[in-house]
Amino acid sequence: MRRLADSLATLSEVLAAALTAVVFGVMLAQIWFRYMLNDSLLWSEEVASWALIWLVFLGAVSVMRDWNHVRVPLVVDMLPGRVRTAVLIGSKLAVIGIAGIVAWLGFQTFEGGFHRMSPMLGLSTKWAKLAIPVGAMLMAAMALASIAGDLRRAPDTGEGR
Amino acid sequence: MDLALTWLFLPFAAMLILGVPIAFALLAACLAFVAFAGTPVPSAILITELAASLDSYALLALPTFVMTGELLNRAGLTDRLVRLAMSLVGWIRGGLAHVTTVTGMLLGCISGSALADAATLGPLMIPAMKKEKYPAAFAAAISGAAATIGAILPPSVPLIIIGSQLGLSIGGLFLAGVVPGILTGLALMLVSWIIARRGRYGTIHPFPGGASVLRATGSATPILVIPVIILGGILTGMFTPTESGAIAVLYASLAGLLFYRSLTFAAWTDALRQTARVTASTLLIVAVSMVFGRLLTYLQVPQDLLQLMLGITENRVVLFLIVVAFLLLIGTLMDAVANMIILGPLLMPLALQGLGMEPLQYGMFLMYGLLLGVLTPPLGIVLFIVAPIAKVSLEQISLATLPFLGAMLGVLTLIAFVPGITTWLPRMAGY
Repeated sequence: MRRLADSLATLSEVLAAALTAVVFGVMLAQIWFRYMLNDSLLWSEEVASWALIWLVFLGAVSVMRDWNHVRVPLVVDMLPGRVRTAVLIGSKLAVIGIAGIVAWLGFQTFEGGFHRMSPMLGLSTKWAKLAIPVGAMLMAAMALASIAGDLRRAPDTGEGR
Repeated sequence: MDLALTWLFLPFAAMLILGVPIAFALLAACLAFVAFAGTPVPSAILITELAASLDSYALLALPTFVMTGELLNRAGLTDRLVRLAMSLVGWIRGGLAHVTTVTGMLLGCISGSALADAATLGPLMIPAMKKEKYPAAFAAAISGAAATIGAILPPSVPLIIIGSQLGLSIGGLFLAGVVPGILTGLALMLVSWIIARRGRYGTIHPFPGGASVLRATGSATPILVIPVIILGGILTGMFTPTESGAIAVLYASLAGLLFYRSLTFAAWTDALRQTARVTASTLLIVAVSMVFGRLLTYLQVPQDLLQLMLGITENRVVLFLIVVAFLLLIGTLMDAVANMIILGPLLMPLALQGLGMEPLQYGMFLMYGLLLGVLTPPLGIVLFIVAPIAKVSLEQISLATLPFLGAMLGVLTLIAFVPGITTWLPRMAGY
């Protein structure tokens, strides 16, 4: 389980990094075409913004693997060890619930009919929106895997991360 | 309507306290609102709006400036900036404190984040200052304060986010940050000069001479090209901020990999992965906060807030004081990105109509006010970054930060009441 979660997180991160490189590359190509070839690219912004949404929701998966999403640790850090582990697991369960609902809504929206065609690429915008449920589903899985980690650690030390 | 607001805030506050990541606490609030508030918002809208929030040309600039900063750090080129700052201001009383401030300003012209700069400046400057017998708490405080300039001078990640949320030009906002960034640097130097003189801190260094300044400038020139690319592109209108960011990435990559050869390919891909992570966690909050903020606007909260505040007082000074106190408090409690997105439209009517600000001025004012939150004791995040490096307690760093915080509050007051500070340069450039 831990191995699987780690490799999924790494895969998401590598894909997100590749998409980041795509954003840079497309922006540079846009400049090159405008100034060197005198011919503005029409599809560059579209490709870059599709890359951006996928990069955000895939990148967020590996951040979730390390439970590194921005949060307010103030109250939780003041709690004694055992209670803190319990609250920590509780908040991870909350994340699983929320991400689960978002994934469900996202897949529903993906299959629904309210999509536009993107003006330049002629692709349905549902392929951009698909990033949201895919990312949410993977994030829920990561939160679940990290609960497993907390439970494994908790009996020995009485502290979670 | 009040019931709807309850559904928006109650789940959010509860989850935040329990340590649920901010993005998910905000999502929970949006979901609860859609499900229970009885207002007709179909749930598919949520997904569509999330996707729409990220479909922004301005936000594409964010990863470019994150990557440039990451590359520069990994290539170990920041030492050259310190040496340049040393030759410029190291000879003044309180020398290393000024070196810290000026390095913070130079870094600020390349990186766009106060937190990243605090993590860079702290380990670089605090040990050096301790070696010269500066009090550790003072060293930590000036490093933290100087790091905030990273978000004020262009490029700036928070200004990109504010611009994309409020529909302000990113180029205009970047230029609006130049004068406040320089003023902040001068204010910090003045305060550390006074403190250092009174406490007889540090070693007196002789002025190294013009030749030495020239040499240090020469060695830093390949790095100083980056701000020239960014500002030049924006000032001449040749490149959008996003494009100039991409050029800066290309330049920093080539300089590090080929010219200085201090960057390995592995370090480059590592920087790319770190950029993806930072971009993802920042923009996830951006996307969700935008949806949350749109629900607030839908409930007409900004207008109500304006009426409420004008009902209390129409005195500009009192209004200003209330808004600043609120920004400091909320800035120290909550994540700056979520704050900017949610509060941006919320306080805009108040600032524009109540306080008579111009839009670019307001964008800068909001960012600066929330930025002070990261420095405000006892919870400011920057304090938690620099205090462990200096090995000082939270009490010590809190006390030592107060004079610098005071100076920056002075700059914030100037930004609020003197529009020219933020609007002059953008206007010169035609924004």
